Amino acid sequence: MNANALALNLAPLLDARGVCKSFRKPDGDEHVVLENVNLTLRPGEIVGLLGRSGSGKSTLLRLIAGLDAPSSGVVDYRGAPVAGPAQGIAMVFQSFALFPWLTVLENVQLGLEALRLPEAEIRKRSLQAIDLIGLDGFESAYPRELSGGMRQRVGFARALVVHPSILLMDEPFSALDVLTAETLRNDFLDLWGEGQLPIRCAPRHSQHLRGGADVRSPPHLLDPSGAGGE
Amino acid sequence: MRLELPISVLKNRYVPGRWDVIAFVLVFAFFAYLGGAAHGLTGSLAHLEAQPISLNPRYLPGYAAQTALRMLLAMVASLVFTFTYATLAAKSRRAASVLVPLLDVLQSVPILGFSITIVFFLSLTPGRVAGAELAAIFLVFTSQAWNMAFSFYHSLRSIPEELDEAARAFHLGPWMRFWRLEVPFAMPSLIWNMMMSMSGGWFFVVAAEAISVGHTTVTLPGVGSYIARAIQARSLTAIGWAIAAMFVVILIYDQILFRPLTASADWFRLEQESGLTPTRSWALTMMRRSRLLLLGRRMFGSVIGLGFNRAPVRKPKGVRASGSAATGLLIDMVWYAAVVAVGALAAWRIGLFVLNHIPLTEVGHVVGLGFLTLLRVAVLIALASLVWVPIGVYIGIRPRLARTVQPIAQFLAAFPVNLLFPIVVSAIVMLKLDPNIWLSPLMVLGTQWYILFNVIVGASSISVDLKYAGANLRVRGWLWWRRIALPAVFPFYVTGAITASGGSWNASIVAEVADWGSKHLTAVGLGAYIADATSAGDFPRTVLGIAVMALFVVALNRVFWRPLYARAERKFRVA
Repeated sequence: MNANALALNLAPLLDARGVCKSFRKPDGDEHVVLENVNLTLRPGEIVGLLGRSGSGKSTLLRLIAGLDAPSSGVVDYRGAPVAGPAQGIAMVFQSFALFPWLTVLENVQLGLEALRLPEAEIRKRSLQAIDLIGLDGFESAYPRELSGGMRQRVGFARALVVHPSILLMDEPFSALDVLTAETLRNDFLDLWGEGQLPIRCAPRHSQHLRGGADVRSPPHLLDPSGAGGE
Repeated sequence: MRLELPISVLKNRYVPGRWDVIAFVLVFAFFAYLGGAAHGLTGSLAHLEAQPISLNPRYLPGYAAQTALRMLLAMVASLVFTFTYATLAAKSRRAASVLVPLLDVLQSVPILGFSITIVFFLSLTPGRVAGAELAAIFLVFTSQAWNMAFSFYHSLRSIPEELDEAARAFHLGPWMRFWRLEVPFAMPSLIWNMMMSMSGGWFFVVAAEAISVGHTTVTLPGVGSYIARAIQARSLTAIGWAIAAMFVVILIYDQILFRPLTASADWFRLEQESGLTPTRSWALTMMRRSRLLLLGRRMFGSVIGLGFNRAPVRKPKGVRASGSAATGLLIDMVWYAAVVAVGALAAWRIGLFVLNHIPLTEVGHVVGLGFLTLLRVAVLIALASLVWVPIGVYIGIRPRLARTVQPIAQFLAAFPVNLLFPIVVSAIVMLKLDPNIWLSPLMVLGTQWYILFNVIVGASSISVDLKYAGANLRVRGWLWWRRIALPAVFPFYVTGAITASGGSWNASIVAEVADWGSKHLTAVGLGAYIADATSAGDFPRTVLGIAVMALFVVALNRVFWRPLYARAERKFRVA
């Protein structure tokens, strides 16, 4: 029995129903990226979205995060429809998306500053997060002074420090070389397994999840015809 | 079944298409216009004086055409200068040691300070208009050439190593290398600077057409002299007509020259920049699709190509006999000694010339005036920044809005604001306001757009991922400005502010003194000093004023702007 069955008893964190998304191309045609997508996320799950490049994975993640609105359909987070960037959903980006003019510490702090927490609390949590992802000592370094792997660690710290309920990761390791990606992936899963990740609703007994994800390929992701790779 | 072959496969089929019709009409019109306007160039001065500028709007299109022609000629001259001067400076280290500082100083000299050269040009062709035209064109040239040359020089010096190695590995001869590697690489930045130059150029074309230096007055037929006449006659309606005419002219230039240039610059870009979406330009499409112009381009290309050849394999530079290293050093020392000697001599002569006629106390007074103008420029740039930076950011982070607004901002930057001066001046006269305060905004009226423009570009180059990251972390309000928006646009803002500040110094010469009818308004400042000295024909004082202003600008650049820009580049530029 895996944690999935346990999790079935808990209410879904995220519920996406009938989500469609299309973009208008420069010459006026509509380009449908997502059609009738349904996705449910429950506490304690690791879910992987598989698909070719161009199949709409990033778009779906943006819709879940509230960074974009679906053309039609509903995205519910904790029972309420998502309207704008939702609190409790954090994102890690493929391109790291660190602010080049902020130090590592300032980058990590940014989300907490936006939450208007007291300064002492912000500093404590940020330093803890930096410690957790293994960049202790690099607090006042700038992103351009760091390697790709280190930058993505900062990206993780920044997302984790706000204690999200849902952590969205958009191909977080694909911009890294194979070895670094492997190291980061294992480190992350270790932290998850030990329950050290400050993601709420992660059940303690999650050893079953170590080394794998509950993989679900959403059956209704549209394969765009004729859209080659990026 | 007939096979329809794609057009690109059909060779030598110069069947005219619809773009050819438009192209033909435009090219024909252009040559007709050139011929007509050039005819005026060869007339005699007496003939010119016999036909004073008429305020009748019927003559405006002709005047506008002449103004536009001067602009075009100045741009061609600037391009020729750029290709020769900058290439020389880039290829020869010794030449660069003189040419680059010289360019720096030239860039800091107020453009209208060059109007004292009008006497020299008139003497070249006594009695004929051509000398006066040359003087006006030279003035406009000085407003355009320096930053284009600088941009080309910097591009030549920063060619990426791989491209350089590829060119050498394929044995590209110098001429071929120039046209196949160096010019295309420098194109985007050169085109950008050409646009900036053209924008600024209108201002000086208008100012240059009615210059009086002492007893020498030149009023060339054009929009500028039309305005001067309208000011004398205190006719606001005439000013209105002139503004409308200029509007049309700049619109035409914008559509036929500006937009295609910007649109084509995107094709030369080395990296993909997450900036504004490429500009659309019907004129560029026409130039690309018209067979007629394709013919023209092919002919140009084959003429250039005549010089392409493979250079013989040369010994790599590293292998050199030891003796030549010592001779090289000797030549260097001699060269630098000569440069220093000539420079010192020139400074000595200028100093003597000035001090012979002007007491030292007045020199101190002029420096004080400089500080006053500096205060004005600083306050105005600060005010303009406070207004336009937030607006620019707001526009820049919304791509669709930016696409619509950017051409408008470019157009505004191009419009010569000295056409609007008379309206403001007449209001000041009528309301009896203090010129010291109310003439000042004129200085920044035309240059504030550079701030807006650059901030828009900066804000739109914030990558989508960074925007998403900020939104995901729910960074809002003042925190968003402080941590995301302002740092992101900072290097772009500094670029815009440098341009705006330089332009304001230049504008001070026409903004600190203003005429309306017989009323002569003056604000206390260095620009007014130079303007008054020029119109009085007082050469020593003009030279003093120009030298002091140039000194101020150079000092400001070294002490304030350059370090600020370096810091902005280092800390805030997205790598």
